[in-house]
Amino acid sequence: INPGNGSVKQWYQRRVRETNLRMATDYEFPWQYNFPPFFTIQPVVKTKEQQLQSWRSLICDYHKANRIWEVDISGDVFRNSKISRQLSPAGIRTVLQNLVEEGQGVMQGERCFVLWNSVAQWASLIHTWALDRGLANTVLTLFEIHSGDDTEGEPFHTMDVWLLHHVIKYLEKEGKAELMLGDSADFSDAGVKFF
Amino acid sequence: MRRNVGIGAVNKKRLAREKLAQKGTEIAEIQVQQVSQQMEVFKQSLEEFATKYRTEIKKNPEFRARFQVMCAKIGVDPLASSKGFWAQLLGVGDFYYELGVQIVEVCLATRPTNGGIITMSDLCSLLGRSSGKTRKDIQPDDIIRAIGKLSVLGDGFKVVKVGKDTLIQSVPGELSMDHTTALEVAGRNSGRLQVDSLEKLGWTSLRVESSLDTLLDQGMLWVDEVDKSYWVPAFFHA
Repeated sequence: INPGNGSVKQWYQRRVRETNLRMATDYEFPWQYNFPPFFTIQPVVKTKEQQLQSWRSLICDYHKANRIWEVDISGDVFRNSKISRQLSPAGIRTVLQNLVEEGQGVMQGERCFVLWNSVAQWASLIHTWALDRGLANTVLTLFEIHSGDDTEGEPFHTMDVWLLHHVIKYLEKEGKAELMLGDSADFSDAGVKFF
Repeated sequence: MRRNVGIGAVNKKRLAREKLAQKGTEIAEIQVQQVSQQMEVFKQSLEEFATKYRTEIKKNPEFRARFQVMCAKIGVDPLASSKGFWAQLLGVGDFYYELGVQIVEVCLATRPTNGGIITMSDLCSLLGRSSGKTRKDIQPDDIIRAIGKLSVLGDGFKVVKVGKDTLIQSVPGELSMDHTTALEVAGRNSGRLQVDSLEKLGWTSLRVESSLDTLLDQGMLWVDEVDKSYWVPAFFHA
């Protein structure tokens, strides 16, 4: 046993929380996932709209349940080996494009991040957390927010740092935060002050 | 002197006739009285029956079905109008009205996925799930009656037999024989339909194409490009 920071009790409590988190991610795929035509982008417009809507739900629910922030195009989501079907690369592009168009995804170059909460919703959650903790007008690192002990159990804990900075920029536009970028491109020295 | 002739006899006869008539009226009156008394007893028993079994009728599908049969035998339609004597007494009209509304809701909700056709068994299980409360067991008989009542609103809803399956169609328009045949073939194969199974029936490729295109357009069919097969979501169960 390596207690890490603090006592054995704290370590134990963290393990319990992590286990609870893992148990909550027994994500069940919807029936469409086992329906072979679901992996063919449908030619009939109305049917395609319905199909894309189902894909959006699947992608959001899957990533939220597994706490995965970035889409992996070679991942389980787009292929079902049990029925030997997978979305073609073009199909994946169509699905992700639609995801972004509907506000449930955001692109950073080639990377696609899933927004199971909208940017506005994330902004509100993080801002409220900061103010509730009495952290207004103090400088926090982005690291503390996405990976600090203090945010364990919060829905934005483990958030990808690029996505986090994207959300904070939104808060900046609302006048509720100030982003302080450091020198590194990976935001490892970036900070924020909430108002 | 001869008996029974003469004024005396006539008068006597008249008197006898009058008395008979009077008696007749009396008897008739008694009969009417007896019948009304019986009616009163019947009505009371009926009311007791209704109150006692109202919940049972709503809850128990077998009981409900037998009750319907009994009513049909007596020549009573408890569903005729929710303001009718029976419907008021038993509250049965409401049951089918409510069920009709729920059927419409379920069909509208599933229409984007199945193009407007849903199997009877799927509809039953979805209805059982949505209402909870007193209604656990919706039977096909209930659905058919409720849809029968819905038909007064227009012909958006109909029951279609496809092979051994019963489908409820909630989009207007007729499914042609070819369409139902194609659906039936799919139904026998867990929802999967291939072009050659229709060609085996002797259909020309134009006929095959035309039917498949219509069903595709309706959203009742999806296409799988990997093996060029067609699938009916209504018949698919993972």
